[in-house]
Amino acid sequence: MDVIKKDFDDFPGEVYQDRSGHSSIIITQIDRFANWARSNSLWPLIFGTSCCAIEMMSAASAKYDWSRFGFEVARASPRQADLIIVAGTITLKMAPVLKRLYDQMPEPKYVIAMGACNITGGPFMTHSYSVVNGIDKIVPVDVFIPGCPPRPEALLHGMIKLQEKIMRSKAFVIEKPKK
Amino acid sequence: MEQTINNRILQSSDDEFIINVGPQHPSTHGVLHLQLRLDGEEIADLKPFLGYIHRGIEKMCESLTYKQFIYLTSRMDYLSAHINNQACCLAIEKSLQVEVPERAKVIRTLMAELTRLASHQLWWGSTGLDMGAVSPFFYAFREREMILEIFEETCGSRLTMNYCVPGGVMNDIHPDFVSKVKKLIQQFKANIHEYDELLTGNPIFQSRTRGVGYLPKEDAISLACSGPVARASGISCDVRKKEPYDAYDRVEFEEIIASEGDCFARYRVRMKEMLESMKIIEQLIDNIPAGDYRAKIKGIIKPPAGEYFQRVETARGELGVFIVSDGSNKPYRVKFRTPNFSNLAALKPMSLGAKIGDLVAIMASLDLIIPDIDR
Amino acid sequence: MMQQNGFEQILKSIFPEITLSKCAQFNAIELKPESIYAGLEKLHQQSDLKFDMLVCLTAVDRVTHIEVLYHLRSTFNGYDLIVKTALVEQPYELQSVVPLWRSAELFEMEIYDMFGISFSGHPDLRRLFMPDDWEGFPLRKSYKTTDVADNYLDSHKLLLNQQE
Repeated sequence: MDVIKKDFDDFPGEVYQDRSGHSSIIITQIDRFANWARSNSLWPLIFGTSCCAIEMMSAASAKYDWSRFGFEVARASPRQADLIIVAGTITLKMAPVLKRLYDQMPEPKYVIAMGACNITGGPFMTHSYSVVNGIDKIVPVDVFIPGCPPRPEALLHGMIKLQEKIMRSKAFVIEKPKK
Repeated sequence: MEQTINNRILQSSDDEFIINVGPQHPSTHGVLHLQLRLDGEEIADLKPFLGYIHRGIEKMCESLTYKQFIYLTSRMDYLSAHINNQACCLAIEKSLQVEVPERAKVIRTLMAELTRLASHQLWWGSTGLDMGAVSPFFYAFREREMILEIFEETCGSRLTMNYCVPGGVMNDIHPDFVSKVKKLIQQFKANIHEYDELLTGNPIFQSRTRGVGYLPKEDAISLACSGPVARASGISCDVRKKEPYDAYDRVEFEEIIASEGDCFARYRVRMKEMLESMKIIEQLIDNIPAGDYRAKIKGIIKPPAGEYFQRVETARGELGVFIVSDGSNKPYRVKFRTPNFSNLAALKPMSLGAKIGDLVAIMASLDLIIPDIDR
Repeated sequence: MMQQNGFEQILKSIFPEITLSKCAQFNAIELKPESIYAGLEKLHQQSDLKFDMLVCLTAVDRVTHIEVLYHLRSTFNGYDLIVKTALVEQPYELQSVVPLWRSAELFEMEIYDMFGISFSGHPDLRRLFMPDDWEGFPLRKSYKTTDVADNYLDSHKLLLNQQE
């Protein structure tokens, strides 16, 4: 069968078309293919506790429009989501809830810690009695985004970084970020 | 442990059942946890559980200096961040008996009204979202982003601006500030009719809000409601009118009061308030007095021992800042009387007897910010 | 707004032995903890004053005693009044004012949570902000905040390395 190689920039691999124009042969690695699909359809969980949630909403609105990168299917249920953007302070009372939400999400799952509060406790680091100083104590975090609150561009940058990270991972081995 | 768990759960008979809304729920706008006792679809009882975003700001204030603690309040009601800072600065200025320069007063007032405008726009978008209309969200963010750009140019930040300092404002306004605000007013006036066309006249929206979540005037007083929630029930409570602060004594605007007390009245009050904010901005923008933007204040602030109280009108109601000083450089005790904390109490009388679907509309009309309740 | 003298006279007619002081910019009076409910009820009912709104209810830990402040407002004539009371002996207890003002329900719960003052007659007194098994009352001056959060996570097995 005669086939012609086609160039698709977006596709991770080689695509060959036959004479009728159908793309009938694909040569790629399973890892690359699965990661490509995964990283371009991340479904975030709506999990906003405070200020950062507003900037997350800004990122979803028309000016920044995170659907350009495939994030627009924001879910309210953890069982349908594979990415949790922790936007806002996590307090001790909220910590078990966050952990339960994380446990309810199906693998593979990713965590973005948005904002200073989630990295170290931020403005509430030293004198507060009820703030978790860094959510990486409770759940494994893939990407940290600094700022109080971070700009929407920073959030998008963090999410693109997560996509890059997924592209480098093994498709059938779940590797958790180490503390 | 068994005992405490039993105490937390509402009692239900055989025909009724208990459901939990939150703390992770899209319509609670944060981490509010409500326990509902349902009789069929009707809400028979409601109990709020708070503290999921309690960060101990009041305790933290006791270990920070006067200049530092102001900026924690931006994280309370983050949509009125500037107005919260303004309240703290006014209280500190009152204790030090500092006279703020006229220019600073006008800039602060302008910023406060822009904040109110941005806050009400976000509320309008999310109200539409709660009622099942997605497009308002995108329209609301169109003008909101313009306001945030103005903030960013002058203050360096979009949301938690930290622009107020005791004695005035952090730095002078950006050279483009006036022209950009004028452009914003122009565009907002051209676009405001779209807001009404999209949502206000929509029959689905009207049937979901008219007559829903009725709050009588007596209840609103007894529950110490404030802001648009109280004004929609016929209480005149605008602090900007009652105790004018900064430049509010030299501007003319109307206090919007409705008497219906339902969700639609609260909606109308906020919509009209946006126009009033526009009016205030228009009056001030051409008349920013020249001069200093900040009064000279000592590096270490030590107010004389005593109690100081200042109240302001945030986008959601009356914020009271109560500072107890013992003469040192740190406050002895700070209490924030936040508007949402009292407005939350109105949720129960509003929603008893309503359908569970109406709860979403009622919460949207209350415009609750949970970190402001929990602090 | 009525004159300061007239206001003082009305107050004197209700509480003959009271001295009017100032708290921030408001008039303030001090009542005994035992008579706080009766006194507040009079202020609520009295037809000239009619304090129908409890704007705020808070407490200040003065180390020797805990001071509770009731911030009352009248929507009829715009008066503000602060009623203070000092609690000296533990266990701190006050009578609930929920029958007078419904806004007191949440305020009293907050004070119970933060200062450990129990309010008798409150319909649903529980910890409002902190978890049910929390120890101590954070806004008291004797409460230390260092390492509290980490210890809580540790004791509740929430840390990442404690999870299986």
